[in-house]
Formats: sequence, structure tokens, C-alpha cells
Amino acid sequence: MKLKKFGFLRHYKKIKVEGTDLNGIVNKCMKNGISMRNLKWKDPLESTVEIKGEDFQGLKKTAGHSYKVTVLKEGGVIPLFKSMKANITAIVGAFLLGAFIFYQSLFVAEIRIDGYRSISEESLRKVIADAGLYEGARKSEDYNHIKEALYREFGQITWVSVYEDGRLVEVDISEASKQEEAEVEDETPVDIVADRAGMIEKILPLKGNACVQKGEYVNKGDVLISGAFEYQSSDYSRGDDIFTMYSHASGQVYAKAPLRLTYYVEKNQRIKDKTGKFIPGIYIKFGDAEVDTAAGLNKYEVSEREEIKILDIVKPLPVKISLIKIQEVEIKERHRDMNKVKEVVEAAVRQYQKDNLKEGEEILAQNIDYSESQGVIKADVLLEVLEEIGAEKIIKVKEEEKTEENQLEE
Amino acid sequence: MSIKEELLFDFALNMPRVLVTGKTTVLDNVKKVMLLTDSQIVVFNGQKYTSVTGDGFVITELKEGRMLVSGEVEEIRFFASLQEDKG
Repeated sequence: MKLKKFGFLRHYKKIKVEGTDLNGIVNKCMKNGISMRNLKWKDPLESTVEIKGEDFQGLKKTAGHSYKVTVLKEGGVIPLFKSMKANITAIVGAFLLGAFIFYQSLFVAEIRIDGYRSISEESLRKVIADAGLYEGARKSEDYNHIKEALYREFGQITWVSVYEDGRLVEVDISEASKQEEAEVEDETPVDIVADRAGMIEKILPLKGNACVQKGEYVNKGDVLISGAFEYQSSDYSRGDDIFTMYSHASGQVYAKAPLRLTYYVEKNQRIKDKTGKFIPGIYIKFGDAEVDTAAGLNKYEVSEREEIKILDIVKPLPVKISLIKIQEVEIKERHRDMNKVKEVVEAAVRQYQKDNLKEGEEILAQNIDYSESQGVIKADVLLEVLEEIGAEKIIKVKEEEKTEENQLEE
Repeated sequence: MSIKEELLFDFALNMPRVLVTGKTTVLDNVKKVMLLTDSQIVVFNGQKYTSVTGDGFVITELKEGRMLVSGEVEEIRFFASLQEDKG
């Protein structure tokens, strides 16, 4: 009965009443407790009024044959639900459309990178993709991990900003300018010393006195370019003593040094041999959800997976469809050919050269000895490498000498 | 207003009582509708009649003896029936 309070909200009917003496039906309604609203006159014989749905039968009874009652419109919550029920397909469609629009807004559609100069966009994109930001990735509330990855990977980046603009993610970076990169001239007194033993091949002193010559053998820690100069003052008041002046020595010293590397290669090589049996399947990824029909059916002990992309889109929603072929393979072992082993080791030496030697450094000679032990072939590589061995070492200046030097400067 | 007057005002069930605020008029103690048009409404309150004249009248609510009317009000008149008519 409490719902009676919400009679009009629940269900109301807008009706047209036609007949003479319209006051009569209004008075009868009042008498019978039928509430009315928005009572309007069109002319003396016709008026419109809204009544509660539950009062309609009572009104019709009251009107009898004297008045013509026509329902013009129905409103309220009940008719709304009825009309929703009748248009369920349209409503479900609208809901699905809304859900689709909402769901696609959860994914990154485009990434724009600005502000880079010396770093290539490709390498920036690779780093952020590895950190989890790529077209089709789920949007993140916090992009600090992207910033950290960029700072970690590229030392020249001084500032990174990552922000979303709808489905677009903007990555703004700022690199250190050349002026910023230029180092302030260091005046700390240093010697250039050998950081490992070797035979001097080339010495290029830029500042300081060269202490060694080509062909000399130096041990680790030997001074190669000295930052200390001895001089006799022309100021007679200082006497005939010999003073030392210190500078920041610099230059390049290349030496031939032996380098020993050891590589292990398996004697037997594993090869995959296809048996011809396979399981076909389909892989579908829609947003975050993914289905792989073949994954659950894979009963092979060893298998290889082949994937052929049919669809891979990011807009309007990340969708990926691929055909899958899981092929059964057998692992077979074959004795590795010695020529192949040599090729592998030589390639490893070349890779070492690429990764570890700087500009101006090179491998002058190499000797590789192979020996076989249980299951592996051991390759002992002896290299003669021309490398830069100079390293800065701070000169410990005595306090008295420092004071003297200051006086000299004054 | 004294308490007596207030009581008389509240419990005068057969007398006209009208409240006009802007374009909304509230007629209380409506016992019977005598005339309804979009320019004039005459209601019987039990002892007297209330006549509201104006323009664009719409009865926004009519229930339990209370009539809410929206529209421009120009004139409100109260009158009683003649003794001869009663007889």
C-alpha cells in the first residue's frame, strides 16, 4: 500500500475526456477519491487529464456512457519497464555498444614520442615496449616504471614525462644538451698509470710527461704519463730548491697485452626432427581475454609451435587472431662437426671483440687450442690484444707543497 | 493573529481558503467544482464560492479537497448564494 504514494511515478495515464458537463466527472472523481493532475481544457467538450494507472478502471466506471474516455499516453516506471522488455534487443545492443566503447578505452591505441635527438625512436619504443607500454597494452595508472626503464637504458635522458590523452599515450623526453655534456675541465692532479700489464705499443701524451717508450714492458700500476713537473724557481727569494708542480695528466697509451678466454662447446648437437604429427588450433586474443584451442590439447612430449597471423589490430580494440600448428618433434643428438665448433668459437671471439674492445683497440693475433673432455669441447683462446691501458690515478700532494704552489700562483 | 483566529483559520472547513504565489494558486476546502475553463475556475467550498479569473489555467493537481492551479491570476472573488436561492 505504501506504493500508492508513488502512484503517478509508478504508472499514470494521460486521458482525453469528451462530453458535456465536464465539471460533473471532475466532481465524481473527487467524490470517489480519484486524484487528477494536469487537467487542461481544449474546449467546453474536451479536456485532458492525467490519472494514476490503478484509478483508470474507477474513472471509466464513473464516466459510464456519458463521457468518452481515450488513453493518449502512459508513463511511469511500469510502462518504462514494459517498453524496455519490448525493445530488449535494442537495449542490449546499446548496452553492448557502451560496454565496447568503455572496454576499448582501457587500452592504448597510439604512442607518441617527442623530444628525442640523439636516440632513435625505434630504440625508445623497444625499451618502453619491454617495460610494458605498447600499442594494444592495457592502460596503466602509473607510468613510473616506463620512466625508470628509459632513465636506466639511456644515460643522456634528463627528463621523461608520460601521460595519457584518451587512448593516446604521449612520451616526452628531454636529452642533455652538448653544453651540459661538456665536462668541466678537471684540475685534480693525476698520473696516467697502467691498469694492467703489457708492452707499450703507442703513447700519445696530451698533458704531462711521458714516462715510458714504445717497446717497454709495464706492470700494473706503473706511471705512464706523469702529472708532476719539477722546476727551479726564478724567484731568488725562494732559493735554489727544486719545486714540483702538479697537473691533470691526460693522453692515450696503447699496449699489447695477452688475453686468455675459454669457451665450452657441447660435443653433441641436438636437432629437432619433425614426426609429421600435428595439432591444429586457433588463437584469439580480444582485449585481455585470450583463447588458445591447441594449448589444452597438446599431448606431445616435445613439440614446436608455429603461428600464422591472420589479424593483429590495435584499434578500435586489441584483437589478434592466429592459426596455430603444434608439431610433434623428436630430439636427436648428432656429433658436432669440428669445423662447426671452430666457427662457433671464432664467432664468439668476434663477438667479444665487438662487445669489449673500444675504438682504436684490436686483436693483433690469436691462437686457439681445442681439447675434449666429458661431453664438451674446451677451446682455450689466447689473444694478443692492442688495448688502451692508461687509467687516471690521483697524486697525493703533500700539504707543504700545496701551500707552496698556492704562494706561487699568488 | 490570536490563537482563536488561528484555530478558526485552520478548522474553517467550509470556508474558502486561497493561497497565491506567483503563477501558482492553491484552493483549499474544495467541495465541488462549479465551472472549469482555462480562464475561470469557480469552486464551492461548503458555505461560499470562490471564483478565480485569469489566463492559461491548468489544474496541476486535484485531490483530497485541494486544488493546485497554475496560470496567471487576475481576480479572486468570493460570493455566497442568495437566501431565496437556498429556499
